[in-house]
Amino acid sequence: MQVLMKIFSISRIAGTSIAGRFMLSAAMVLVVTGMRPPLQSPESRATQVKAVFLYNFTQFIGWPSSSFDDAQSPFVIGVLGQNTFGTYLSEVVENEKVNDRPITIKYFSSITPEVGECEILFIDKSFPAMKQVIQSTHGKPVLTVSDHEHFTKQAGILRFYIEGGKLRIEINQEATAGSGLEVSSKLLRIATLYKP
Amino acid sequence: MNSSIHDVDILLVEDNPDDATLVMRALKKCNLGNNLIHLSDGEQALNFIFGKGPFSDRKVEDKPKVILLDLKMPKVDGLQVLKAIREDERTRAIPVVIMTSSGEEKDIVATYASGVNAYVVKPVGFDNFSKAVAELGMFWLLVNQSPK
Amino acid sequence: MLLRHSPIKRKIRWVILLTSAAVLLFTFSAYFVYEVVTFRQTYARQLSVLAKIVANNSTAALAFNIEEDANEILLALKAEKHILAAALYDKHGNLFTHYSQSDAAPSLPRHLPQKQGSHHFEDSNLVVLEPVTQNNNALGMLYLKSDMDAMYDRLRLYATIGSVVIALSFVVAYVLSNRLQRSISRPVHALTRTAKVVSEQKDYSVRALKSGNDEIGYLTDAFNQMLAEIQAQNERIQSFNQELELTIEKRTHDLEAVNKELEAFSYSVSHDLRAPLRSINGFSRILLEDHGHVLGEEGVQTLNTIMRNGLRMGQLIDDLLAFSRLGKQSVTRLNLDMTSIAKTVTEELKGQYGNKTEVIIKQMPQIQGDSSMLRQVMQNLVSNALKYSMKKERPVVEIGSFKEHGEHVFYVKDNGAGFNMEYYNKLFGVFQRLHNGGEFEGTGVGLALVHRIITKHNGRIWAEAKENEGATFYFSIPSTKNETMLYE
Repeated sequence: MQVLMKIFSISRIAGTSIAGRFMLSAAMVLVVTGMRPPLQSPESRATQVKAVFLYNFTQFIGWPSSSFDDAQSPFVIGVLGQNTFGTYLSEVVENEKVNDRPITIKYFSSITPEVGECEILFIDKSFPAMKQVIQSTHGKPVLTVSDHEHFTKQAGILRFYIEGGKLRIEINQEATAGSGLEVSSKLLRIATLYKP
Repeated sequence: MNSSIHDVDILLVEDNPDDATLVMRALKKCNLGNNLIHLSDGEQALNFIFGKGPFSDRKVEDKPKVILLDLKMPKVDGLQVLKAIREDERTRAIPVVIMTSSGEEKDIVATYASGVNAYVVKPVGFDNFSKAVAELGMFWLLVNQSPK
Repeated sequence: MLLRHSPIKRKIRWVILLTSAAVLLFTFSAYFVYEVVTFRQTYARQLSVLAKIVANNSTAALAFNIEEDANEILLALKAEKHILAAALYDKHGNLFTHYSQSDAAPSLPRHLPQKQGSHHFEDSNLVVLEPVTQNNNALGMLYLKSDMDAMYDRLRLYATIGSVVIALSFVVAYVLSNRLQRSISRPVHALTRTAKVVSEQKDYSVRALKSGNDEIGYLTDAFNQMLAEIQAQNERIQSFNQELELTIEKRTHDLEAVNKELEAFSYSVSHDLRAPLRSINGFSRILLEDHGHVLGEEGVQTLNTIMRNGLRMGQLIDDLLAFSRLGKQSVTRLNLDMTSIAKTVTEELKGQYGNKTEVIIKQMPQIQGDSSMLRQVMQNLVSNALKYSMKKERPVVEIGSFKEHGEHVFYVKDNGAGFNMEYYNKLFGVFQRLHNGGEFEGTGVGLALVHRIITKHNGRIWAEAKENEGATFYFSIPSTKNETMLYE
């Protein structure tokens, strides 16, 4: 049921025509199995995978209860800088919940105090003040994710990178210290560990 | 015993004097009773035949021509006399006729086994009796002359 | 049943062996079935636990599309030699990665049917489908395929153990039954042996040994009691027999003595009674011959009467002796031609009674009987017939026979004086006469003699008559198989 809904929700990203929906579904299948769809650019395909990964992180990482104001507080995924996902990210998380909390997506163009209240904060690699963002979220239960090449080097927690045509994850374990985030060993297992 | 004891035609051994009288009368009627000696028991008969006792002056060789022997007699019976006669060489050839009133089979068999020459059952009727005696006497004395 | 004629010993042994074998087999079969059922369940459970672990481990790999990691996880299944194949499907049901034990690619479905968290048996394999979830979020599906060799190995082991146990039990049961059956078969065997001695050697003094107070013990007691009873009865019978033998011996002795006396009596009768008769007759005759002329007519008649009665008494004595002699005479059976006997007898008698009688002799069969006795019978009957018909104008005597109820019946028929049937019961008695001596002479012994002879031949004698019309005398002789049939 969930799977069917997912397919349905993804299909809405690409438009309303039935043919288009079918195409997207096929593309999604191919992405997951690691095959290239002939009609999509690697760029947009990687973005879509990133969106799914962002959602998937919610299941492999534990947030302390202190990161939420109350029981009704939503789970917030923030996007800082340029929004490369378009509406795709919101499509992916729509109707999903993390520990019974609805997921809300917030877009930021600059560093605001609200940025530090996100549970997951994606920082586009084009965002200039990378170091400041990392500093402002340091010690807070905010999972910082970016596709910036030196993100982990700069004490960011998770970094997306492409290897062998596949999207991979690099993690800086030290960066999570004091943040209250609990990274699942399973995630650690599949991720590349950043070593300075 | 009105004849010489040395020349006897018929020796009659019969204990019953009445029977003896009847036999002698029957023989006389046929003129056969002239040289007849009657003895009344077996013992006397043996003495006579073998020349013993009162007849010691008699010779055995002077055999009677025929002996009429009653079967049932006191002291020595007819069968014993018959046996004695047949056992002695000298007397063996003497014809012996057994006379008896018994028709019992066993007597017949016993006498024939001892070598009797003839056998006659003494009938009650006198006519038959005389007839039988006469026939026997005639036969043995006249027809069947024994060798001297 | 095959065991029906085998000894009890073997029967008991087989009963024990077969019973224990059946129980063991049943128990093992039940256990075996139970094992098969529970093993499948247990194994399915074990496999789904394994599937859960693997699924749990592969969440991240699926979530973040890390094929190598997923592969690595599946490769770890190599340690489980029964896992034939494993595969991970993504949440859309597409094959993500797979592992197979052998190089030959297993036939894995490219797309999974929508079966979740289930297991089922395919051929002889067990297939488990386990959803891969992280925090209740479905990430995909794990497919595990395992052979059931483990079960078969186990079942084989059980079968081996079972066979060994059954074989051992058989040996134990055999040894035990061998030992235990003795308590039953031994007393039975002992009883049988005793019974055999009794039935074969007729020795009723033996006793079976009692082994216990069970049914066989009771049987042994009863058997011994019966033996004792038989023995006692035998002894009683024996003593009775001995007594009886003694009695018979004594009786026989007595009888012999009586017989001897009787013989002596009849001998003296024949000898001693006849001598005085002879004298009476003889001297009467002499009196008549020598002194008849002085006696006168009356005296002569008196003498004649004396002589006639003397003769008659002599005849009586002769007949009586013949009759009593017959009692001890045994029948000597020879083939006899009754026709020729009748002819001879008739020839002899005809002269005596004058030749005016017509005698018809029919053809008669050969029979088996005593020659002199049956001649006597024929003689008496024919002489009677001639005698009693003599006074008729045309006397006719017929002699013949017929067959009736397996008997030869002979008859002598005359048309003479006959007799009154009223006196029939006196006909065959000794000294019984139905006519007085003045009419027909006779001693009254003849028919009694005939009756006695026929009885000795197991035959019957009877007569039919009518006064002044004649009489028919019948006698029957049972026919024997080997006689020659001259008529029929």
